[in-house]
Amino acid sequence: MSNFFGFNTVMPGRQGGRVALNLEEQQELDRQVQKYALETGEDFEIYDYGETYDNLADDLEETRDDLNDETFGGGTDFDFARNTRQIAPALKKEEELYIKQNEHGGARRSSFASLWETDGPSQQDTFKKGLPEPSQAASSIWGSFSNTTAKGMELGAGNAGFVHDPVFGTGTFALSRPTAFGNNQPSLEEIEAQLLRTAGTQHQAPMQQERKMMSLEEVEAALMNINGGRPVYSEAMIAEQQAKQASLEQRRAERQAKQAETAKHNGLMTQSDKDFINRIQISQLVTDDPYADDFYCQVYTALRNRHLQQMGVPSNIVESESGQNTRRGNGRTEQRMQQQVQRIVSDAKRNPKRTNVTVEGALGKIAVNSVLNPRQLLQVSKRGSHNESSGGNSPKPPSPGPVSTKSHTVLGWIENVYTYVLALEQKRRQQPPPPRMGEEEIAGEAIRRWNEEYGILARKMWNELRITVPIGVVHPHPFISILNYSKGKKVIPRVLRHLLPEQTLTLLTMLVANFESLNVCKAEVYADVQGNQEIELFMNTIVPPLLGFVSEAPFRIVVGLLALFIERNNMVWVARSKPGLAFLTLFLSRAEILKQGQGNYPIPDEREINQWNELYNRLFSQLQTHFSALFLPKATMAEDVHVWRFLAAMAVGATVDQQHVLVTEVREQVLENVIAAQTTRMAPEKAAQRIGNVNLFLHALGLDASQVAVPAM
Amino acid sequence: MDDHAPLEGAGIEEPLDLVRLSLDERIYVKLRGDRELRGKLHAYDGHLNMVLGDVEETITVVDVNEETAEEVIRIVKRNCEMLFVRGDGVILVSPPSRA
Repeated sequence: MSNFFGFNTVMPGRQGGRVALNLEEQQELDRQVQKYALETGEDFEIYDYGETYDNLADDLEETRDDLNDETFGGGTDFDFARNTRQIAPALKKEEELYIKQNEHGGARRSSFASLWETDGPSQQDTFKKGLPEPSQAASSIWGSFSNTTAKGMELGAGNAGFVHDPVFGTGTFALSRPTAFGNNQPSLEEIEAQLLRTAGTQHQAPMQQERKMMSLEEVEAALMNINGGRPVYSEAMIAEQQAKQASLEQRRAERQAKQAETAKHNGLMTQSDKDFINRIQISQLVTDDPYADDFYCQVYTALRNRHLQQMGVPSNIVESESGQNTRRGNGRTEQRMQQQVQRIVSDAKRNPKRTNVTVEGALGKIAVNSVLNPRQLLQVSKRGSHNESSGGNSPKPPSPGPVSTKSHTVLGWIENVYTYVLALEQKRRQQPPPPRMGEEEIAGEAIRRWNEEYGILARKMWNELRITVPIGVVHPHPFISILNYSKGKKVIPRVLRHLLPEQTLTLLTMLVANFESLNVCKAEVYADVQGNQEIELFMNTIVPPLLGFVSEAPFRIVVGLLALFIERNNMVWVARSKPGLAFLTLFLSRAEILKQGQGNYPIPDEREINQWNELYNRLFSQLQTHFSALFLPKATMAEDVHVWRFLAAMAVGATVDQQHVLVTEVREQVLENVIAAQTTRMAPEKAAQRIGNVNLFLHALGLDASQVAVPAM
Repeated sequence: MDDHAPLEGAGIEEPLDLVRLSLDERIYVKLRGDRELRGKLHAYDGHLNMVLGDVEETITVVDVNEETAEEVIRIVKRNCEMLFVRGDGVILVSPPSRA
């Protein structure tokens, strides 16, 4: 509570104010006494200020803030409402205490007075009139003892200071608030009067003093004696309950009265005052670049909306739902908030250096640091001058010499790639808008600068990928090493968006040339779950964008890539892997499409066709006798669809002889699938899928699964 | 994340750079209270708060037999799909041992 909406409300300690007591101090003291003497202690941790608490805030009036909502008009539109709600019980409690102590100051004092009254039966009789029931008094003693903390004792001592001085000594006494003296005039007088009477009965005095040092059990025993050996618990508890109930009733009434009383403060703040306070609060959360500062939330929201839309939830519902999550309140408030945010953002842009503001008349400085830009406590010179050095000079090409493929080196490269990819994505979001009329000059400058920065980042990323390291310097090639990590695979689609077409081609060339050293080509990766995940990842991240690239490549490029593929890799080995087969299929089908002159590409000339045929024959002869081995043992039909696709691509370009070879080699698989599909054991859709797979291949040959004669079993 | 400076070459400048290298990799985390975690590191921060995926948690419990004062060491394992690890309990972060 020492912070009031970001303002430091802790006033300077009142040094000279100890003698002159004021109402606030009195109230605060009373409140503390109430807290320990009357409350049952269930929420004590709320008040636990800890050892660091300097008691400065004791001087403040901390209650009366339950009508802040009315005063500030904030309602529940802002986050602070949620925070306030969390401590609502504490606030409520304080308020109740406040009301109670205001109204029942007299009652409290009498209950304190009654503390002495229970010393002996004789006193009980004497003071019964006009004072609370003895049982109630006992319970209040009980309450104060059961909750006894050092502080509670001190405060008790403070109120009746001179009585207990010899017992507690000056040390503890000094800790108690001296301001308590004299202020409790009536209560002190009462006590004094009691003491005088007590002094009259000489034998009571030592007993009374002694009691203060009794342990809990002793007190209990003493109480038992006082009440003639009868247990006092039940009586005390009932009385306590009743007292509680009564006080609850009273509190409710008081609260209403108080609300009515403070209602005169409604409208004390003007709208601009409220806006000002709102701004201070919101400025902590606001950012003009949500994608950089709140990236995950942005992405998550986008993904979630997309997902919901796919599920068939209309977009307007999605919108309103996501709106509800981030903000409540009506449109007007929202609009006002947005205007506020705009102002804050522009303010922040105007004064980027300022870290705090001192407003005239304010009690403290207002920090303009945000959550995302916290106050800097340490000034550490950050790794020299890499920013300056890399900014001007063109980035140095990766040195081919000492390139190693030790794991953490490669991991370091991958992290650098990510760093640049993120920077590039950020740059893209900050792309200057196209120039408007009359502003070409300024906009042109901005665009030129943006292009330059973007280019530098893209070049750095390109270098970090290490694609241009010559083949054969290290094995496996650095780029392949990057791809052998799953995060290396995952970054490729994001990398490709920032590459120039010729860079993409270089990447593809390098990939094709070193294909067999990819870990996804190893046969054993099919054995375990993790390996299969890697293959899936490869198929989902690297194949699609490159497929897009190849499907627009001219014939010459396709021929060149396939030639390199066959040249540099063991075809039998590569074709057994799913990614390898996918790439082969890709090249074959693209070449076939171009040969048939589809699209806007010119039909390849004679020389290119011959070149292609030669390549095709080489591939075919290498794979001959291995076609049936492409099928994985025990593969389910969903898993071998890529093999059928490849066979279809082969069959389309094959000569009659080659087609014959193909059919002979995979005859068994064709029959197996057709027979499996015809048996009744299989679910219809699965059977259809099997037939569909086989037909991929058979249709390429001009055949159909229905024509396959199933031998009688 | 944009503030991450590129790790020059294989230059590791501070301990957290090493943790960064383990992003998206399986790691081993030793925690206070005789707990160990093995999982894939999705995210971390300067406090070593971490988000781990596909985690196996191993808790070593020492049961003391009251009569014989005999200590029985018990190992409890549990698996979590996703786990947030508060950094104040982290003792050690390392790549999983090869063994």
